[in-house]
Amino acid sequence: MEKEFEPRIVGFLCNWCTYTGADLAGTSRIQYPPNVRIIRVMCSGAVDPTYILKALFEGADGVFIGGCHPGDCHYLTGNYKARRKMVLMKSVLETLGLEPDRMWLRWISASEGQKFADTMTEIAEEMKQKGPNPIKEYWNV
Amino acid sequence: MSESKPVAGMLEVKGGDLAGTVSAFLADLLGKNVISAVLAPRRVPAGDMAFPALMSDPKELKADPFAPVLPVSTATLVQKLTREGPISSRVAVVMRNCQIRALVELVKLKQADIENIIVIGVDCPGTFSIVDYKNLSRDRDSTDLYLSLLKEDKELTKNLRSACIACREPVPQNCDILVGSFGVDAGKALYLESRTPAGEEILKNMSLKESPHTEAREKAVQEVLKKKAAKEADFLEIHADKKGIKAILDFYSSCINCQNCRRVCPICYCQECFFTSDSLVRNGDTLIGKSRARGAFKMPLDTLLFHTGRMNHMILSCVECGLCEQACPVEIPLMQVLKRVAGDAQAKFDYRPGRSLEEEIPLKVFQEKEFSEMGGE
Repeated sequence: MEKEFEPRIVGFLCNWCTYTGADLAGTSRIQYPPNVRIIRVMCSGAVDPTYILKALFEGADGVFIGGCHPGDCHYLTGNYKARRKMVLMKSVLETLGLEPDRMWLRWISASEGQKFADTMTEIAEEMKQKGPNPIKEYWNV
Repeated sequence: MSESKPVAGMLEVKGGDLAGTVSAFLADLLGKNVISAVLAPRRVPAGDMAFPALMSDPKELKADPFAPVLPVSTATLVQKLTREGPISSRVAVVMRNCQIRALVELVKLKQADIENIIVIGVDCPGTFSIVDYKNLSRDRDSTDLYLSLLKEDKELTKNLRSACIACREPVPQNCDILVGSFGVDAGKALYLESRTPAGEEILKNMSLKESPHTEAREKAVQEVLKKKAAKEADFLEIHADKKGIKAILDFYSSCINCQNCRRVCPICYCQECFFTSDSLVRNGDTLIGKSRARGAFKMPLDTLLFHTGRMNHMILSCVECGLCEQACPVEIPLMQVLKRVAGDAQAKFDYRPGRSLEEEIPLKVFQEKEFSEMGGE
């Protein structure tokens, strides 16, 4: 039997909201697909586009950035800035034809364990539909 | 911008000597201590290149302000002059519009200070690559080349840098004094106009000839801008096929990761670049592990990461001057991709770099309610 494609998703989670939300999902024993590899960052605003690009170019099938809801940022405005950076980055990838739909930005608070699990399920499903990142076919990246 | 009526008029060009006329005008300002120095292109002794020179002696003021070549970013030079804050006396800087726009961006990025900088903007019918200019200037002087470009000499125009061919803003906007040559008989007279109170101060003390050409000039400028916008649209369309993973990797296939494009970019101001930092250094074991994942990978690494990462860092302020392309030792036509990326990204934020000092750089500000689809809401 052929093995089903299991997407590898890199998640950058903000320490104050989404990471704690993921923690809550775990301690609440909510089940979600194990496709995400979590990297804790202090703020979604601290995620430089280069980190996302590097993950994608090195073969991640998707990248997820989780931050606090607008207005809730621990550093007041980091998530607003993250949002603008993501708009820019998606625009760049769109123009280059490099699949901007492999990136997600979602707001998940520390109390939204269920939302975290649901989001991971949604992303994993979507990625399975979409298939592997084609950049993995190229050695000359 | 000044609310009073700008001073405008014609500066007579004696004996068809464009460079000499502007030099004399600048030398006069130096002599009267209106300014303490001039930064303008000057022909090098070898005679085959024009480099910006900081000239402070009226006798040494031998500018070649129209030399159709842009060896380095003038905006970066102003940044260097004002690194430690505004200079204590006034300096006039002769600039083309792409460089003025870059300077506006550097000011907004808090990298340059234009207090005490008098920007003298010259109309730009385009520039040649350094190598092309070297070859051309063996037999022809800058004035000759410049006037021929103004007349849209076909042979010359097609040899311009692609950034210039596809430039849609050849007329200076945010300058103190405009030196116009579109729509006037530039071999005989130049059109001068003040754009700020500082520029007005300087021009009103000059005996400029009444300009009977103001209207004709305005019409000619509109004509030029229309033509250039069409040229830009053509350029973008021709290169729209550079899209998709394979096409993009092919586009950068000869890149040697020298990062010259970044070094000469007026917008890449960081003292230490992320791409030269240790962040991307991997040890041998990591590299072999990486190789196992895909079977093989190209070395040096991170070519695509460098180009796309750099875009994310500077593209909103990119003025499309094409110095990156000029500096590429393997002749990658960078503008073919960069111009499209810049246009699309800037449109997303309704931002045009260099348009205004007041307009905030998009990544420095935000609205509470915007791009709500991005967060999945």
